Amino acid sequence: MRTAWSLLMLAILLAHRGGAAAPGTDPDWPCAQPLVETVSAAMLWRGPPLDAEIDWQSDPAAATLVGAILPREVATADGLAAIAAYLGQHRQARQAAILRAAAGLLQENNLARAKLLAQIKNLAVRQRGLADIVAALNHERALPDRFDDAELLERWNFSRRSFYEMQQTLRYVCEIPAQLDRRLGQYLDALAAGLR
Amino acid sequence: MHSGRTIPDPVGQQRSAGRRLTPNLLAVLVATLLGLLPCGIGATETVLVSNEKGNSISVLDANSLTLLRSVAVGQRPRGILLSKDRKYLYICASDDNRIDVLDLDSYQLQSPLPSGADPETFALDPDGTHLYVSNEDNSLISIIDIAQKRVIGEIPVGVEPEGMAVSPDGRWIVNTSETTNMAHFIDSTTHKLVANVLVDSRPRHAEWTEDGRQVWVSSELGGTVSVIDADSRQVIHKIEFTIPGVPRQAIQAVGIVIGKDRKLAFVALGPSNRIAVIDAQSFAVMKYLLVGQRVWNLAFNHDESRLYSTNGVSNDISMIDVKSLAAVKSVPVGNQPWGVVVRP
Repeated sequence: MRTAWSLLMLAILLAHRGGAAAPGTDPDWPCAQPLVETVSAAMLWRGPPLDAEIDWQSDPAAATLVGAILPREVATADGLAAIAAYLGQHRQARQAAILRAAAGLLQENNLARAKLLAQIKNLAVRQRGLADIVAALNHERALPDRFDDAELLERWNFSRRSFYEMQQTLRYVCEIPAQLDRRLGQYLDALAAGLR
Repeated sequence: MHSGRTIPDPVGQQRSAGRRLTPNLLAVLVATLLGLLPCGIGATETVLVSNEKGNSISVLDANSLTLLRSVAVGQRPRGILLSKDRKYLYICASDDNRIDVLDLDSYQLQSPLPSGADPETFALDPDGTHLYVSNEDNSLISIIDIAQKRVIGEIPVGVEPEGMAVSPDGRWIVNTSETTNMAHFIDSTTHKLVANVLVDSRPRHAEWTEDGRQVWVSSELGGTVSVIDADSRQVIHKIEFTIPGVPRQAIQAVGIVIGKDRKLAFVALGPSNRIAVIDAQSFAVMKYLLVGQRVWNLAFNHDESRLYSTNGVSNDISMIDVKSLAAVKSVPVGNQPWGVVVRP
């Protein structure tokens, strides 16, 4: 029993030393959801294999569709309506058209996703900087005769407020990758349904 | 929310066939046939799903996956369990720091049970009298006496306790701790920690085999399942997953179910959007089933002919036919489905 407890305590200490990141994680990734950097076709696509060499950009209709429905502000319903219209325009050579659109969506989504993930990591770095500032100000306020320093108190309040605001922002932005993944899944399902 | 659809159930029809039709029973039968009762005689099993962000429980017909109703519960419902008599659903209302109790006949919430801070998952002992709750925020397991509605003990464990499972004979409790990367074996009589087994990173779920000889532990970041011999408390096998075309990062092992005959097991693999089918004797991966996005937890129906998964990003659940090992259907539920159980 004593051995079990000792081993447990040792493991807990090791787990917390120096804020080391767990294996397989990026130390700058602040979200509870584990980091997944790319979304591959195999993760979502329910149609025939998507060849990496598919040239979707030379097809104006596919390129227009991808450019129109991938921006983050586009509502899923509007994107699905655009896909329905695209399918309606491609009654001939339908499979090739669908594969071009799917390949374009996956490729462009991963580019947009990479930018988003980099922005989230930058926010996490800034959050750590704010934490350091608050810690330093805490230390300064603990010094003799500094607790009532009005200017120091103002800086301390401002830094703390900035820290908590950044925490709220991080909570919000950490949800965005899943929201984009959900919408991409619906887009690809709509395209795959066009094959049946 | 009621679909108005009643699914014929041969078992229910047989059961009612030998009874004298009293006025009350006749009224129930007529109402059921008219589709006025969601769970009357003739109804099938129901699937119950906790929606982590929807703060609700979705109730679905297990055959048709028709949504029968949605019940508002406490904030951030995650782990869910049936009471031993299957009359109540216990719900970890994580952000309300309590266990909600839902009457499954009236669908009314009863007075809640205490839980300790931030309850995420729990396990019921085999006699149905106590719940063991993992308190993620304070590295404790709380022991809840259901009849007395009070916390009767706390067991310190590793950092961020998560998976909870009680052995079929009730003798051992296993808890996994996400940050310490261990499965903790606890004597259920003395409530003392007797062994810690190191597993891969961020262990999420523990599942006993029906014969009590093994405990399977999934590791979300490690992307593996450790099979632990319950007697020696050694990892005897590590199941790894490789899915062509899917990045390694996306293969995150979470929910596990193991057939009672230990022929097949199923493992939810998170954002790979797959369920792995495992030969539970050889531990070989037989197949990967593509379901919804971020597949999280799993539950069999009572005869293990069907399997249900919660898919937290696509906000739906999937139904798998176990005989053909095929995903049959997915239907939307609430916002971020998390836990799932099937009520016979």
